[in-house]
Amino acid sequence: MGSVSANRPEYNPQIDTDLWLALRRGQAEALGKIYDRHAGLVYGISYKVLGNTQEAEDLTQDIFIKLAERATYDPDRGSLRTFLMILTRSRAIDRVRSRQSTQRSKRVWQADYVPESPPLSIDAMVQAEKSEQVKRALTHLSSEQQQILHMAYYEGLSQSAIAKKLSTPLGTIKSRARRGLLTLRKILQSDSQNDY
Amino acid sequence: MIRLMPSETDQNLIAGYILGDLSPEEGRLLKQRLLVEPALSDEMTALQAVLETAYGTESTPPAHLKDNILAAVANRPTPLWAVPQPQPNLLQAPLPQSSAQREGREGREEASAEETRPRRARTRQAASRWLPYGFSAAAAILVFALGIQNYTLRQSVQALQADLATELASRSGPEAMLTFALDAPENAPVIDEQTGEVTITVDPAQLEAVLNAQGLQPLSEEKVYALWAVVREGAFVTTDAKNAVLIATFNVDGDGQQTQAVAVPSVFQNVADVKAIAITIESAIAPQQHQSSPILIHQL
Repeated sequence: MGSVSANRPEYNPQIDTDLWLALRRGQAEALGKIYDRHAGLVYGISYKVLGNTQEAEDLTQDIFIKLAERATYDPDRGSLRTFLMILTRSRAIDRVRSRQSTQRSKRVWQADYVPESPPLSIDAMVQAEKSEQVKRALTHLSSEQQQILHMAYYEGLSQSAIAKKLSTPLGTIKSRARRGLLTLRKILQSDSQNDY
Repeated sequence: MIRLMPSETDQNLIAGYILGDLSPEEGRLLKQRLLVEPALSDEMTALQAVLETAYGTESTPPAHLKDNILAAVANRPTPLWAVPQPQPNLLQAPLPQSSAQREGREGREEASAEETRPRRARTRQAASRWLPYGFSAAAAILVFALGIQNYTLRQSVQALQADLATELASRSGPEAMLTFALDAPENAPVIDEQTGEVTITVDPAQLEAVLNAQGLQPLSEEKVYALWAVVREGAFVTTDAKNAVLIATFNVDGDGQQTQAVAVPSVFQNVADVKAIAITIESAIAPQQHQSSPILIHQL
Protein backbone atom coordinates (compact mmCIF):
# COMPACT_ATOMS: atom_id res chain seq x y z
CA MET A 1 0.00 0.00 0.00
CA GLY A 2 1.94 2.88 -1.32
CA SER A 3 0.64 5.66 0.89
CA VAL A 4 1.28 3.96 4.21
CA SER A 5 3.99 5.92 5.98
CA ALA A 6 7.40 4.32 5.84
CA ASN A 7 8.09 5.62 9.36
CA ARG A 8 5.10 3.87 10.90
CA PRO A 9 6.13 1.14 13.34
CA GLU A 10 4.86 -2.33 12.61
CA TYR A 11 1.58 -2.28 14.47
CA ASN A 12 1.31 -5.05 16.99
CA PRO A 13 -1.66 -4.84 19.33
CA GLN A 14 -0.05 -7.23 21.81
CA ILE A 15 2.88 -4.87 22.35
CA ASP A 16 0.55 -1.91 22.88
CA THR A 17 -1.59 -3.83 25.34
CA ASP A 18 1.47 -4.92 27.32
CA LEU A 19 2.79 -1.36 27.40
CA TRP A 20 -0.56 0.03 28.46
CA LEU A 21 -0.88 -2.48 31.30
CA ALA A 22 2.71 -1.77 32.36
CA LEU A 23 1.87 1.93 32.44
CA ARG A 24 -1.23 1.22 34.52
CA ARG A 25 0.94 -0.71 36.96
CA GLY A 26 3.09 2.37 37.40
CA GLN A 27 5.98 1.54 35.10
CA ALA A 28 6.57 5.11 33.99
CA GLU A 29 9.06 4.11 31.29
CA ALA A 30 6.18 2.45 29.42
CA LEU A 31 4.86 5.91 28.53
CA GLY A 32 8.13 6.67 26.70
CA LYS A 33 7.72 3.52 24.67
CA ILE A 34 4.09 4.27 23.89
CA TYR A 35 5.19 7.75 22.84
CA ASP A 36 7.85 6.32 20.52
CA ARG A 37 5.26 4.11 18.85
CA HIS A 38 2.47 6.63 18.40
CA ALA A 39 3.75 10.20 18.72
CA GLY A 40 4.13 10.48 14.94
CA LEU A 41 0.43 9.73 14.48
CA VAL A 42 -0.75 12.01 17.29
CA TYR A 43 1.50 14.88 16.22
CA GLY A 44 0.71 14.32 12.55
CA ILE A 45 -3.06 14.56 13.07
CA SER A 46 -2.63 17.53 15.43
CA TYR A 47 -0.53 19.40 12.91
CA LYS A 48 -2.82 18.62 9.98
CA VAL A 49 -5.91 19.88 11.78
CA LEU A 50 -4.42 22.78 13.73
CA GLY A 51 -1.99 23.96 11.08
CA ASN A 52 0.85 25.15 13.29
CA THR A 53 3.64 23.46 15.15
CA GLN A 54 3.15 25.21 18.51
CA GLU A 55 -0.47 24.14 18.85
CA ALA A 56 0.34 20.66 17.53
CA GLU A 57 3.04 20.23 20.19
CA ASP A 58 0.69 21.51 22.85
CA LEU A 59 -2.07 19.08 21.88
CA THR A 60 0.34 16.14 21.56
CA GLN A 61 1.55 16.86 25.08
CA ASP A 62 -2.02 17.02 26.40
CA ILE A 63 -2.98 13.75 24.71
CA PHE A 64 -0.08 11.77 26.23
CA ILE A 65 -0.52 13.33 29.66
CA LYS A 66 -4.22 12.41 29.59
CA LEU A 67 -3.35 8.91 28.46
CA ALA A 68 -1.00 8.55 31.43
CA GLU A 69 -3.36 10.03 33.99
CA ARG A 70 -6.74 8.66 33.03
CA ALA A 71 -7.78 5.11 32.45
CA THR A 72 -10.12 5.92 29.57
CA TYR A 73 -8.59 3.48 27.09
CA ASP A 74 -10.05 -0.02 27.25
CA PRO A 75 -7.84 -2.65 25.53
CA ASP A 76 -10.82 -5.01 25.39
CA ARG A 77 -12.69 -2.69 23.06
CA GLY A 78 -10.06 -1.89 20.51
CA SER A 79 -6.60 -0.80 19.47
CA LEU A 80 -4.66 1.88 21.31
CA ARG A 81 -3.62 3.45 18.04
CA THR A 82 -7.22 3.98 16.92
CA PHE A 83 -8.11 5.29 20.38
CA LEU A 84 -5.32 7.88 20.12
CA MET A 85 -6.31 8.72 16.57
CA ILE A 86 -9.92 9.48 17.51
CA LEU A 87 -9.01 11.30 20.71
CA THR A 88 -6.47 13.50 18.95
CA ARG A 89 -8.74 14.42 16.09
CA SER A 90 -11.65 15.14 18.39
CA ARG A 91 -9.55 17.42 20.62
CA ALA A 92 -7.96 19.12 17.63
CA ILE A 93 -11.36 19.87 16.12
CA ASP A 94 -12.53 21.25 19.49
CA ARG A 95 -9.55 23.61 19.43
CA VAL A 96 -10.24 24.73 15.86
CA ARG A 97 -13.86 25.43 16.76
CA SER A 98 -12.85 27.25 19.91
CA ARG A 99 -10.34 29.32 17.92
CA GLN A 100 -12.99 30.18 15.33
CA SER A 101 -15.46 31.09 18.03
CA THR A 102 -12.88 33.32 19.75
CA GLN A 103 -12.14 35.03 16.46
CA ARG A 104 -15.85 35.61 15.88
CA SER A 105 -16.29 37.05 19.38
CA LYS A 106 -13.28 39.29 18.88
CA ARG A 107 -14.67 40.61 15.64
CA VAL A 108 -18.05 41.31 17.24
CA TRP A 109 -16.35 43.00 20.18
CA GLN A 110 -14.37 45.21 17.84
CA ALA A 111 -17.55 45.99 15.90
CA ASP A 112 -15.72 45.05 12.76
CA TYR A 113 -18.34 44.54 10.10
CA VAL A 114 -15.98 44.20 7.17
CA PRO A 115 -17.13 41.20 5.12
CA GLU A 116 -15.02 38.26 6.06
CA SER A 117 -13.76 35.28 4.12
CA PRO A 118 -15.35 32.04 5.33
CA PRO A 119 -13.25 30.11 7.86
CA LEU A 120 -11.60 26.91 6.72
CA SER A 121 -14.18 24.23 7.44
CA ILE A 122 -13.42 20.83 8.91
CA ASP A 123 -14.67 19.29 5.64
CA ALA A 124 -12.20 21.37 3.64
CA MET A 125 -9.35 20.17 5.85
CA VAL A 126 -10.50 16.59 5.39
CA GLN A 127 -10.55 16.88 1.63
CA ALA A 128 -7.07 18.39 1.61
CA GLU A 129 -5.79 15.50 3.68
CA LYS A 130 -6.92 12.61 1.54
CA SER A 131 -4.77 11.17 -1.20
CA GLU A 132 -6.26 10.51 -4.61
CA GLN A 133 -5.91 6.78 -3.99
CA VAL A 134 -7.97 6.99 -0.80
CA LYS A 135 -10.57 9.27 -2.36
CA ARG A 136 -10.99 6.75 -5.17
CA ALA A 137 -11.21 3.84 -2.74
CA LEU A 138 -13.83 5.58 -0.63
CA THR A 139 -16.13 5.84 -3.63
CA HIS A 140 -16.53 2.06 -3.46
CA LEU A 141 -18.16 2.33 -0.04
CA SER A 142 -21.89 2.91 0.34
CA SER A 143 -22.83 6.47 1.24
CA GLU A 144 -23.88 5.28 4.72
CA GLN A 145 -20.52 3.58 5.29
CA GLN A 146 -18.64 6.67 4.12
CA GLN A 147 -20.74 8.90 6.32
CA ILE A 148 -20.21 6.80 9.45
CA LEU A 149 -16.45 6.46 8.98
CA HIS A 150 -16.22 10.16 8.24
CA MET A 151 -18.13 11.07 11.39
CA ALA A 152 -16.01 8.73 13.50
CA TYR A 153 -12.56 9.45 12.14
CA TYR A 154 -12.81 13.03 10.89
CA GLU A 155 -15.34 14.51 13.27
CA GLY A 156 -14.16 12.46 16.25
CA LEU A 157 -17.71 11.30 17.19
CA SER A 158 -18.34 8.15 19.21
CA GLN A 159 -20.50 5.47 17.63
CA SER A 160 -23.22 6.16 20.20
CA ALA A 161 -23.20 9.81 19.16
CA ILE A 162 -23.34 8.81 15.49
CA ALA A 163 -26.26 6.47 16.18
CA LYS A 164 -28.16 9.29 17.86
CA LYS A 165 -27.32 11.83 15.19
CA LEU A 166 -28.43 9.51 12.37
CA SER A 167 -31.35 8.01 14.37
CA THR A 168 -29.99 4.57 13.54
CA PRO A 169 -29.53 1.63 15.94
CA LEU A 170 -26.02 1.35 17.37
CA GLY A 171 -25.67 -2.21 16.05
CA THR A 172 -26.32 -1.01 12.49
CA ILE A 173 -23.72 1.75 12.87
CA LYS A 174 -21.15 -0.78 14.08
CA SER A 175 -21.77 -3.28 11.31
CA ARG A 176 -21.71 -0.59 8.60
CA ALA A 177 -18.43 0.81 9.94
CA ARG A 178 -16.86 -2.64 10.04
CA ARG A 179 -18.06 -3.58 6.56
CA GLY A 180 -16.82 -0.22 5.30
CA LEU A 181 -13.35 -0.78 6.70
CA LEU A 182 -13.17 -4.31 5.26
CA THR A 183 -14.28 -3.05 1.84
CA LEU A 184 -11.69 -0.29 2.01
CA ARG A 185 -9.04 -2.88 2.69
CA LYS A 186 -10.03 -4.95 -0.34
CA ILE A 187 -9.95 -1.91 -2.63
CA LEU A 188 -6.65 -0.52 -1.36
CA GLN A 189 -5.08 -3.97 -1.43
CA SER A 190 -6.17 -4.53 -5.00
CA ASP A 191 -4.90 -1.02 -5.98
CA SER A 192 -1.58 -1.89 -4.41
CA GLN A 193 -1.35 -5.16 -6.34
CA ASN A 194 -2.14 -3.34 -9.57
CA ASP A 195 0.88 -1.08 -9.00
CA TYR A 196 3.19 -3.94 -9.97
CA MET B 1 3.79 -16.12 0.71
CA ILE B 2 0.14 -16.96 0.25
CA ARG B 3 -1.92 -16.17 3.30
CA LEU B 4 -5.41 -17.55 3.76
CA MET B 5 -8.07 -14.96 4.40
CA PRO B 6 -9.61 -15.24 7.86
CA SER B 7 -13.23 -16.30 8.14
CA GLU B 8 -15.94 -13.67 7.89
CA THR B 9 -16.52 -13.90 11.64
CA ASP B 10 -12.85 -13.34 12.40
CA GLN B 11 -12.69 -10.43 9.96
CA ASN B 12 -15.71 -8.86 11.62
CA LEU B 13 -14.13 -9.20 15.06
CA ILE B 14 -10.80 -7.81 13.89
CA ALA B 15 -12.52 -4.88 12.15
CA GLY B 16 -14.38 -4.18 15.40
CA TYR B 17 -11.12 -4.24 17.34
CA ILE B 18 -9.40 -1.88 14.92
CA LEU B 19 -12.40 0.47 14.96
CA GLY B 20 -12.47 0.28 18.76
CA ASP B 21 -16.08 -0.85 19.08
CA LEU B 22 -15.97 -4.44 20.34
CA SER B 23 -18.57 -5.46 22.91
CA PRO B 24 -17.28 -7.33 25.98
CA GLU B 25 -18.60 -10.59 24.52
CA GLU B 26 -16.86 -9.97 21.20
CA GLY B 27 -13.70 -9.06 23.09
CA ARG B 28 -13.72 -12.44 24.84
CA LEU B 29 -14.37 -14.22 21.56
CA LEU B 30 -11.50 -12.46 19.81
CA LYS B 31 -9.20 -13.28 22.70
CA GLN B 32 -10.06 -16.97 22.30
CA ARG B 33 -9.55 -16.83 18.55
CA LEU B 34 -6.13 -15.21 18.94
CA LEU B 35 -5.06 -17.95 21.29
CA VAL B 36 -6.07 -20.60 18.77
CA GLU B 37 -4.86 -18.70 15.71
CA PRO B 38 -2.08 -16.20 16.51
CA ALA B 39 -1.71 -15.39 12.80
CA LEU B 40 -4.88 -13.31 13.13
CA SER B 41 -2.73 -10.57 14.64
CA ASP B 42 -1.23 -10.09 11.14
CA GLU B 43 -4.72 -9.23 9.97
CA MET B 44 -4.96 -6.68 12.75
CA THR B 45 -1.74 -5.09 11.55
CA ALA B 46 -3.01 -4.98 7.98
CA LEU B 47 -6.39 -3.53 8.88
CA GLN B 48 -4.88 -0.90 11.18
CA ALA B 49 -2.69 0.21 8.27
CA VAL B 50 -5.79 0.55 6.07
CA LEU B 51 -7.59 2.70 8.62
CA GLU B 52 -4.58 4.97 8.94
CA THR B 53 -4.06 5.19 5.20
CA ALA B 54 -7.58 6.54 4.91
CA TYR B 55 -7.92 8.53 8.11
CA GLY B 56 -4.51 8.96 9.73
CA THR B 57 -1.45 11.00 8.99
CA GLU B 58 2.06 10.98 10.47
CA SER B 59 4.70 13.64 11.06
CA THR B 60 7.86 13.54 13.11
CA PRO B 61 7.38 15.56 16.29
CA PRO B 62 10.19 17.83 17.53
CA ALA B 63 12.86 16.00 19.49
CA HIS B 64 12.31 17.90 22.76
CA LEU B 65 8.62 17.01 23.00
CA LYS B 66 9.13 13.53 24.44
CA ASP B 67 11.28 14.82 27.31
CA ASN B 68 8.77 17.59 28.03
CA ILE B 69 5.91 15.10 28.25
CA LEU B 70 7.77 12.59 30.43
CA ALA B 71 8.91 15.36 32.78
CA ALA B 72 5.39 16.80 32.99
CA VAL B 73 3.89 13.39 33.81
CA ALA B 74 6.61 12.58 36.37
CA ASN B 75 5.94 15.85 38.17
CA ARG B 76 2.15 15.58 38.32
CA PRO B 77 0.60 14.98 41.75
CA THR B 78 -1.82 12.28 40.55
CA PRO B 79 0.22 9.69 38.69
CA LEU B 80 -1.53 6.94 36.85
CA TRP B 81 -0.81 4.23 39.37
CA ALA B 82 -3.02 5.96 41.95
CA VAL B 83 -6.22 5.06 40.12
CA PRO B 84 -8.00 1.68 40.35
CA GLN B 85 -6.30 -1.03 38.32
CA PRO B 86 -7.96 -2.49 35.20
CA GLN B 87 -9.40 -5.98 34.93
CA PRO B 88 -7.43 -8.54 32.87
CA ASN B 89 -7.59 -7.49 29.25
CA LEU B 90 -8.20 -8.92 25.86
CA LEU B 91 -4.58 -9.13 24.81
CA GLN B 92 -3.00 -9.20 28.22
CA ALA B 93 0.35 -10.93 28.52
CA PRO B 94 1.75 -11.78 31.96
CA LEU B 95 3.98 -8.97 33.18
CA PRO B 96 6.01 -8.77 36.38
CA GLN B 97 4.45 -6.72 39.18
CA SER B 98 6.20 -3.43 39.78
CA SER B 99 7.28 -1.78 42.99
CA ALA B 100 6.53 1.54 41.37
CA GLN B 101 3.21 1.90 43.19
CA ARG B 102 5.03 2.64 46.42
CA GLU B 103 7.65 4.73 44.62
CA GLY B 104 4.90 6.65 42.90
CA ARG B 105 3.32 7.61 46.20
CA GLU B 106 6.65 8.76 47.57
CA GLY B 107 7.26 10.77 44.41
CA ARG B 108 3.87 12.36 44.77
CA GLU B 109 4.65 13.56 48.27
CA GLU B 110 7.61 15.39 46.80
CA ALA B 111 5.52 16.96 44.07
CA SER B 112 5.93 20.69 44.15
CA ALA B 113 5.15 23.71 42.04
CA GLU B 114 7.18 21.93 39.34
CA GLU B 115 4.08 19.98 38.29
CA THR B 116 2.42 23.00 36.83
CA ARG B 117 5.46 24.08 34.83
CA PRO B 118 4.30 23.17 31.30
CA ARG B 119 0.90 24.81 31.77
CA ARG B 120 2.46 27.80 33.46
CA ALA B 121 4.90 28.21 30.61
CA ARG B 122 2.11 28.19 28.08
CA THR B 123 -0.08 30.54 30.09
CA ARG B 124 2.87 32.85 30.63
CA GLN B 125 3.38 33.07 26.87
CA ALA B 126 -0.27 33.90 26.39
CA ALA B 127 -0.22 36.49 29.18
CA SER B 128 2.88 38.17 27.75
CA ARG B 129 0.94 39.13 24.67
CA TRP B 130 -1.30 41.28 26.87
CA LEU B 131 1.51 43.16 28.63
CA PRO B 132 1.45 46.22 26.36
CA TYR B 133 -2.15 46.81 27.35
CA GLY B 134 -1.39 48.10 30.86
CA PHE B 135 -4.45 47.58 33.00
CA SER B 136 -5.54 44.53 31.05
CA ALA B 137 -2.19 42.95 31.83
CA ALA B 138 -2.68 43.41 35.57
CA ALA B 139 -6.11 41.87 35.34
CA ALA B 140 -4.76 38.97 33.30
CA ILE B 141 -2.02 38.28 35.83
CA LEU B 142 -4.56 38.34 38.68
CA VAL B 143 -6.80 35.88 36.85
CA PHE B 144 -3.78 33.74 36.06
CA ALA B 145 -2.66 33.69 39.70
CA LEU B 146 -6.14 32.77 40.91
CA GLY B 147 -6.34 30.10 38.24
CA ILE B 148 -3.05 28.52 39.33
CA GLN B 149 -4.13 28.61 42.97
CA ASN B 150 -7.43 26.95 42.10
CA TYR B 151 -5.68 24.39 39.92
CA THR B 152 -3.16 23.55 42.64
CA LEU B 153 -5.90 23.15 45.25
CA ARG B 154 -7.87 20.89 42.95
CA GLN B 155 -4.81 18.78 42.25
CA SER B 156 -4.13 18.46 45.98
CA VAL B 157 -7.67 17.24 46.62
CA GLN B 158 -7.37 14.74 43.78
CA ALA B 159 -4.03 13.54 45.16
CA LEU B 160 -5.59 12.93 48.57
CA GLN B 161 -8.49 11.02 46.99
CA ALA B 162 -6.08 9.00 44.89
CA ASP B 163 -4.02 8.23 48.00
CA LEU B 164 -7.09 6.72 49.58
CA ALA B 165 -7.69 4.56 46.52
CA THR B 166 -4.15 3.22 46.72
CA GLU B 167 -4.51 2.74 50.45
CA LEU B 168 -7.72 0.73 49.96
CA ALA B 169 -6.05 -1.56 47.46
CA SER B 170 -3.05 -2.11 49.72
CA ARG B 171 -5.09 -2.74 52.91
CA SER B 172 -7.34 -5.39 51.38
CA GLY B 173 -6.22 -7.87 48.78
CA PRO B 174 -7.82 -7.52 45.35
CA GLU B 175 -10.00 -10.54 46.11
CA ALA B 176 -11.63 -8.65 48.98
CA MET B 177 -12.59 -5.71 46.79
CA LEU B 178 -15.89 -5.62 44.94
CA THR B 179 -16.03 -3.75 41.65
CA PHE B 180 -19.33 -2.74 40.10
CA ALA B 181 -19.60 -1.30 36.59
CA LEU B 182 -22.74 0.75 36.07
CA ASP B 183 -24.57 0.72 32.72
CA ALA B 184 -27.52 2.57 31.27
CA PRO B 185 -30.81 0.96 32.39
CA GLU B 186 -32.47 -1.15 29.72
CA ASN B 187 -35.65 0.93 29.75
CA ALA B 188 -33.87 4.28 29.47
CA PRO B 189 -35.27 6.56 26.77
CA VAL B 190 -32.80 6.94 23.88
CA ILE B 191 -32.58 10.69 24.50
CA ASP B 192 -31.39 10.08 28.05
CA GLU B 193 -28.91 7.40 27.11
CA GLN B 194 -25.62 7.88 28.93
CA THR B 195 -22.44 7.22 27.04
CA GLY B 196 -20.34 7.61 30.20
CA GLU B 197 -19.05 4.87 32.44
CA VAL B 198 -18.88 4.65 36.20
CA THR B 199 -17.20 1.96 38.28
CA ILE B 200 -17.38 1.65 42.06
CA THR B 201 -14.69 -0.35 43.82
CA VAL B 202 -15.85 -1.20 47.34
CA ASP B 203 -13.88 -2.47 50.30
CA PRO B 204 -16.69 -4.06 52.38
CA ALA B 205 -14.41 -4.60 55.37
CA GLN B 206 -13.51 -0.92 55.66
CA LEU B 207 -16.83 0.39 54.24
CA GLU B 208 -14.88 2.57 51.87
CA ALA B 209 -15.06 2.84 48.11
CA VAL B 210 -13.60 4.61 45.12
CA LEU B 211 -15.88 5.99 42.46
CA ASN B 212 -14.39 6.40 39.01
CA ALA B 213 -16.49 8.24 36.42
CA GLN B 214 -15.52 8.66 32.77
CA GLY B 215 -17.33 10.49 30.02
CA LEU B 216 -20.33 11.75 32.00
CA GLN B 217 -22.02 14.96 30.93
CA PRO B 218 -20.86 17.95 33.01
CA LEU B 219 -23.91 19.31 34.87
CA SER B 220 -25.11 22.83 35.62
CA GLU B 221 -24.47 24.23 39.11
CA GLU B 222 -28.03 23.41 40.18
CA LYS B 223 -27.58 19.69 39.52
CA VAL B 224 -25.45 16.98 40.96
CA TYR B 225 -24.87 13.28 40.35
CA ALA B 226 -26.13 11.13 43.24
CA LEU B 227 -24.85 7.62 43.98
CA TRP B 228 -27.40 5.29 45.62
CA ALA B 229 -27.44 1.83 47.12
CA VAL B 230 -30.86 0.27 46.57
CA VAL B 231 -31.43 -2.36 49.25
CA ARG B 232 -33.70 -5.36 49.65
CA GLU B 233 -36.88 -5.19 51.72
CA GLY B 234 -36.09 -5.79 55.37
CA ALA B 235 -32.40 -4.87 55.15
CA PHE B 236 -31.18 -3.45 58.43
CA VAL B 237 -30.71 0.11 57.23
CA THR B 238 -32.78 3.27 57.02
CA THR B 239 -33.89 3.95 53.46
CA ASP B 240 -36.00 6.46 51.55
CA ALA B 241 -39.32 5.67 49.90
CA LYS B 242 -37.52 4.02 46.98
CA ASN B 243 -35.63 1.65 49.30
CA ALA B 244 -32.44 3.56 48.57
CA VAL B 245 -29.61 4.97 50.65
CA LEU B 246 -27.76 8.04 49.40
CA ILE B 247 -24.06 7.16 49.38
CA ALA B 248 -22.55 10.33 47.92
CA THR B 249 -22.99 13.14 45.46
CA PHE B 250 -20.39 14.17 42.93
CA ASN B 251 -19.65 16.30 39.91
CA VAL B 252 -17.39 15.74 36.94
CA ASP B 253 -14.82 18.00 35.32
CA GLY B 254 -15.11 19.47 31.85
CA ASP B 255 -14.01 16.15 30.33
CA GLY B 256 -16.66 14.26 32.27
CA GLN B 257 -14.16 12.63 34.64
CA GLN B 258 -14.12 12.18 38.39
CA THR B 259 -12.29 9.91 40.83
CA GLN B 260 -13.60 10.19 44.35
CA ALA B 261 -13.27 8.30 47.60
CA VAL B 262 -16.62 7.69 49.33
CA ALA B 263 -17.79 6.01 52.52
CA VAL B 264 -20.40 3.30 51.94
CA PRO B 265 -23.22 2.34 54.35
CA SER B 266 -22.91 -0.72 56.58
CA VAL B 267 -25.29 -2.66 54.35
CA PHE B 268 -22.25 -3.40 52.14
CA GLN B 269 -20.92 -5.68 54.88
CA ASN B 270 -23.63 -8.07 53.73
CA VAL B 271 -23.67 -7.38 50.04
CA ALA B 272 -26.56 -9.80 49.53
CA ASP B 273 -28.74 -7.05 51.01
CA VAL B 274 -27.77 -4.65 48.22
CA LYS B 275 -30.12 -4.96 45.29
CA ALA B 276 -28.57 -2.37 43.01
CA ILE B 277 -26.16 0.53 42.81
CA ALA B 278 -27.45 3.46 40.82
CA ILE B 279 -26.69 6.99 39.77
CA THR B 280 -29.31 9.68 39.30
CA ILE B 281 -29.15 13.39 38.57
CA GLU B 282 -30.64 15.37 41.45
CA SER B 283 -31.04 18.91 42.63
CA ALA B 284 -27.74 20.05 44.17
CA ILE B 285 -29.48 21.59 47.18
CA ALA B 286 -31.62 18.56 48.05
CA PRO B 287 -30.25 15.38 46.43
CA GLN B 288 -31.74 13.28 49.23
CA GLN B 289 -35.22 13.93 47.81
CA HIS B 290 -34.36 11.33 45.17
CA GLN B 291 -36.70 12.64 42.51
CA SER B 292 -35.05 11.27 39.36
CA SER B 293 -34.76 7.86 37.74
CA PRO B 294 -31.39 6.15 37.37
CA ILE B 295 -29.23 7.09 34.41
CA LEU B 296 -26.73 4.34 35.26
CA ILE B 297 -27.32 1.22 37.30
CA HIS B 298 -25.75 -2.08 38.32
CA GLN B 299 -28.20 -4.77 39.44
CA LEU B 300 -26.74 -7.25 41.88
